[in-house]
Amino acid sequence: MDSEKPLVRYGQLWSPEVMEDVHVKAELGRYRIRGFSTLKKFISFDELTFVPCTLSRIPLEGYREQCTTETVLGTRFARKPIVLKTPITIAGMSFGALSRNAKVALGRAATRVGISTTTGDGGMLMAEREASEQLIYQVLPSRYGFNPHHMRMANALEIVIGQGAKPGTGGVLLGQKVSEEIAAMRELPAGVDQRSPVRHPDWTGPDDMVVKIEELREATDWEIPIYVKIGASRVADDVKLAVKAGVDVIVLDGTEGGTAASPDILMDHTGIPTLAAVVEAKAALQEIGMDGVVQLVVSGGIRGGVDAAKALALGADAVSIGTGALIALNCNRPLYIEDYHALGTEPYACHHCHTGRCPVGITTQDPELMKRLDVDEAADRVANFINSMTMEIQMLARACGKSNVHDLEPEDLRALTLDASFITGIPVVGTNLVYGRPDLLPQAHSNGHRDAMNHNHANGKHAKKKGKKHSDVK
Amino acid sequence: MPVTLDCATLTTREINTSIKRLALEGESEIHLINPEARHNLGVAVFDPIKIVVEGTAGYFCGSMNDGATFHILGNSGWSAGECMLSGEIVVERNAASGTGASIRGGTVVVKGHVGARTGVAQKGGLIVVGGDTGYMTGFMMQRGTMIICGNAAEGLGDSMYAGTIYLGGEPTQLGNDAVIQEMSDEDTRFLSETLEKYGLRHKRAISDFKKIGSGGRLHNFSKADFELWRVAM
Repeated sequence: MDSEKPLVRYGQLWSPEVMEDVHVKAELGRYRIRGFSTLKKFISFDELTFVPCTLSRIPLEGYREQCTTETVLGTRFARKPIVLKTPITIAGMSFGALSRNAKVALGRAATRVGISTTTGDGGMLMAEREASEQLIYQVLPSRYGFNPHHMRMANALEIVIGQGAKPGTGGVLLGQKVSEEIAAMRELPAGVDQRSPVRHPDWTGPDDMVVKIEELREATDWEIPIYVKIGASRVADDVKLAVKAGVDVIVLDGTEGGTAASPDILMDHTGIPTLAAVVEAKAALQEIGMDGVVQLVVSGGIRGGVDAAKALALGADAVSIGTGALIALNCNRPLYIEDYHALGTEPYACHHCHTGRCPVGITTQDPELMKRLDVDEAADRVANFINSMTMEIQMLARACGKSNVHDLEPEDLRALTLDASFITGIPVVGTNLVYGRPDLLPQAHSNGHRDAMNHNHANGKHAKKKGKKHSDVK
Repeated sequence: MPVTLDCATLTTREINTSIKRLALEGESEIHLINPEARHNLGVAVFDPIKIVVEGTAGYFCGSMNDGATFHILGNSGWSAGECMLSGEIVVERNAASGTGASIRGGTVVVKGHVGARTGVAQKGGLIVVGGDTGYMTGFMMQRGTMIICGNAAEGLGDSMYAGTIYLGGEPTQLGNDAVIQEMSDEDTRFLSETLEKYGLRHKRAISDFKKIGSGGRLHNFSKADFELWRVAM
């Protein structure tokens, strides 16, 4: 008899998660679809840290001195740019993906804190228009619910080229969420699995987009800004083409961006992380001399004021929040736990937006579930969350000696990892050296930083000539 | 006597501003001369005014229209009438790709041929084509009606959710889940009256027309229908 004990070991390649994935697909006969955002860990803002003022720089009084947060978007061509009290916007999320209560709560919260919110696939919900002082109207490939009269009621337009969660592919709204009301707004048969197109029906490519933007400006009498939303992919090329086409604002959505329903392979295996995207976009704007002329809004996994402040330091003019705002509404909160279990999940691990059975009434069209989201209370929570973000951004800016959050700059940051240094062009902590990409952001760095970059770029020759080691520089 | 605007001496902004001002002042008809394929003529006009383009228009002529009547005497560029809510656009000659894209109402008539993706994502209204249509005409059609007197290139009615396409000629290939449906007396009467109204009755015998609609098999995913869904999802 073999006395060896039975061995229970889980494989790295064929892990339990991989096996479960195969089992599910063997039943479904298609790829998996889910909501929320990527479940993978990408390189993130966590790999940067601020280096506040000490002796070499003077901080502002953290709890007292003024620190301006006002943000203006759309100054290039529009006669009526968007003025935000804080550099945060609420991202486009559709009525359909979200419940009516959720859309109205987001609008009220945005109005209360002086920022904008955004429509989504499926058109403008009048209750959202009434709730939102500043509402951005998306022009999407599907044109579901697109109405020129609603367009004229908007404070800005946003041409959607793609989303960070699924650049290169349109959205999905499965039949269980295509209620009679949603179907009527989108002119679809109720209950269909709606698969949105990714290509606009009336134009193709950057040359056409020049004409399309002129059309939208003519239709709105050149009054309101025109944004373009791009899923982060070939960022530098896309940014330059969008600028050439005549946009006022670029909204760049990193791969961590959320979605109500998408093939999960796209969320996890396509696109560029937000950290990398903002750096590449900023460099592209600087290269063509349009930094500060065209504003850059960055979205995708912005979790709070720290991420926002780091994005601003790297060159964003504002951040846009989607998933963060939904979590503030109550997404994944441990309420109605039995309903999470009925979906086969639990609080803090729910990404079942696509099912329409959202336990907390946010991503559902079920009237009973929707009642679980009290609009006023939900609006309070989102407003509080945005206010907390504003305070966090201000706190970091003051500590860095900045009286305006838009004065945050790369020199206020250090990289905690070689990867982050390589991508951002920011020195690694403790070395004062920049690893890789000295071509990025050279003019945004201080002299000391630039010296370090030059040494690195010179592959050590300069240091050798002076008889110093890299680590001795500066 | 209709008002005349000379496009050769005006910017697009000046043309469109003038159209809207004249419409508000109660003018009933405007003629645009020397259009020279200018883009974005008559965008988002919401008043019941008649606009005659005495020549060829560029992209997006009459787009987002709600109530105006456009008569284009030459050809039209891409996406004439896109996202129109109501009104009418008549093109005397040929039209480029995306004509009538995503219209929700109104009528677009092209007496000649049209390019690819005509009536893509059509959400209502009527599109009438006197000649042939290009690739993927009626792609993702949602509602409304399309009449094509000539032939249709590959992908006619691909992935249409609903709506009706009448085809007088032959399709190179029907799109995914586009199916031939039975013509009724009502269909025949509608075709006859509509083609008569736009002077296209001579283009094709009514008896030649086929009716095409959605087979409904792409409304909800079925793993049993993999060959259909492999390109649709």
